[in-house]
Amino acid sequence: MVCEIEITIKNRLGLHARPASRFARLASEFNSDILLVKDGEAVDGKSILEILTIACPRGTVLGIRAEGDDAEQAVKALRELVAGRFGNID
Amino acid sequence: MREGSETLTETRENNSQLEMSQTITGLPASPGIAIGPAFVLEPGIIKTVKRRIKAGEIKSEQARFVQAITAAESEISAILDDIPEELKEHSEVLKSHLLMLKDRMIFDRTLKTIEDNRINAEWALEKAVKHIHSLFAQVKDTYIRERMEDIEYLVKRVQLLLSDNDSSPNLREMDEPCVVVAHELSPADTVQMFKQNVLAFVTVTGSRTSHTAILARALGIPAVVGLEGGIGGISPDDLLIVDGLKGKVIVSPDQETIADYQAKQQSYISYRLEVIHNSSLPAETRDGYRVKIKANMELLDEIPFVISHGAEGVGLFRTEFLYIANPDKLPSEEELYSSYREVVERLAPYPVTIRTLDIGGDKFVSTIPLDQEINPALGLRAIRLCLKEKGLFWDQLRAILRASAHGEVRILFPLVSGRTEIMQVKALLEQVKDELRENEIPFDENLKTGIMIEVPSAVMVADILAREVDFFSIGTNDLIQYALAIDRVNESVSHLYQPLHPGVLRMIHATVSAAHKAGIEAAMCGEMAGEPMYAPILLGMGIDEFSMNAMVIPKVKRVIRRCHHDDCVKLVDRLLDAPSISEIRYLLEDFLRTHCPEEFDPEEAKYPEFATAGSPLMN
Repeated sequence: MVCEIEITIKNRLGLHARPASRFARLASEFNSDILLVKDGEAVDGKSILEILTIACPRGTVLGIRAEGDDAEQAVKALRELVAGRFGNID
Repeated sequence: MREGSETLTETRENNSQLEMSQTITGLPASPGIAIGPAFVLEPGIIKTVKRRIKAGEIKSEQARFVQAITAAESEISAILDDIPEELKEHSEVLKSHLLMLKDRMIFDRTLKTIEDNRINAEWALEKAVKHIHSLFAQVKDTYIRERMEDIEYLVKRVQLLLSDNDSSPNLREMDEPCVVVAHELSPADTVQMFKQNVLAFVTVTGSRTSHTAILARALGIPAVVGLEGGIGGISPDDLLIVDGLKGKVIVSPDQETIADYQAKQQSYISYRLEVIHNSSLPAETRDGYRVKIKANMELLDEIPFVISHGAEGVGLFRTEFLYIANPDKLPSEEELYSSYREVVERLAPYPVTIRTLDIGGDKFVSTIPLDQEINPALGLRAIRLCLKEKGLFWDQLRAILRASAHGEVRILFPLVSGRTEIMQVKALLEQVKDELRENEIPFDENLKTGIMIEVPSAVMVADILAREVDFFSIGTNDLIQYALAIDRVNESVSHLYQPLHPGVLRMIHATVSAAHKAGIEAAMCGEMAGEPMYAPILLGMGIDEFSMNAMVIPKVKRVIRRCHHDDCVKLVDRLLDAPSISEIRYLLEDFLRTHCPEEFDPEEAKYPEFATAGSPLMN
């Protein structure tokens, strides 16, 4: 199963180390392959380092694409994490 | 026998000459003074052994790498498990380190490279890091780029574990209180130090805002970072003096220096205690005359310091940082707003005076072409630049106004030279307010506006300006520079920069009088306000609000609390008649000796500049 959504980064400092760490940790809990897509460039959503290299300041629109048996749950959980500004951190 | 012992003495003397004390300078990262033996934590550079392997070795080489990663993981987990409560908020950094160790760009890639290239683990890991490095180097965001440091700490640790002769001393082996000396310290190292008898730390890398510096300040451990020339001159067990106030490290000091620093250490400790005990007392003279004491600040992490030092608000919040931090682009209104809002909310119920941008366009992105300025102090800067670059100014004014909905905000405009500028600024501010009203964005309708008095012409027309604003804030640094035509940075004239020049005192006096005549407040936010010995003059002139570096607040309060306002007024009368700097100085010193002998005792040498021949304080 493939699930795809778009999200907007709302944290003040963007997707920096702490949010990226939380994102990768949550993504790793799922079996599905998870990709983060920015401007056509896709990185592994389970890799904190790859997420950091696409440098997403506040306001960046990103695609999340999950493929696997739990794709739907994965996308839902990640969307909530982003919407809640990663647990309300900067 | 006799001969022998003499030889011994001689040799010892020679040795002590060899061990001549040496002073290394760096950046003061965390205040305090420590004296103790050096514990040299690690060599700066590890040489990676590079070796090609046979097909049959691939499996075992990969296993060796996995083992090293696992070992590094369990080290971090162990630290995480018993992280002290005070440092809980930093555990996130260590958690992200765990994630990085197993990140596919490090873990999977190294395993694959071992197999594909048939090279040993150390070499493969180095290749993986080089790859990450090249990707990070392209990232524009400085903050993210700096995370490369974290990766390097981690990899260095793994390389050490791989090298099998991990002989570098470990913090756990420290059995007496020591000064930790290292090329660099990882956040994990610093967290561990909390549990050890660490007296101070000294590193070659780092800045005031690096993880370790922030942690050191949180832990109250003195620290000097960014050591010039490295730590090559420090050997294990060398006696060190770490001066975290001045950013100095003295290696193998002589007895006299040690005694000197023991005294400094004592006085710093009593100063800290004094801060804790007295900082909340009001700034009130013996005869009940009360002034406001506020802090000057620039960075958000200064807020706890401002509060603990007894400031009644922020008298000068400098806003240049966000413009300089990222030279590639201007900060957005949202960025500015959230920074201002944080200061305002955290300082509430105390007021925060936010000064609009006070630098030249050469310091950051500018849309107007800038010519090379021969004399930037007299060039296109501060309010002049803002009135020219209205878009930039508009965003900042919106951000400040929006922040005013969250607490008491006052707005301060720098470098105003006359009425026209104020009228332009006020008209613009009204337009911004209209826009906010139209969009129903809340702000404080009663927001007070003030101007810096730092240009001599503004002093001359202070009575006119006072009708147009709610308060003045005297910026003595620039006012003195402009009034005396002295460039403080120019060494050949810097001695002529004299706050006690009769011309300067008369300017301050005229400004305060004009403000009071118009019924508005006169504040001072220049360095003069934070100099304890000038407090009686400023009290006597009627300055309503003193704003200074938070560090000096307790000292200034102490002097204020020892003065009588009446005496200060009389002192000012005499000073304004005095014809020269030396006469003014003499009268002031005499006053201080009579009224605040505890503060200005030459024996204590708190004010060495007073201890000159002919000074009444020497009598």
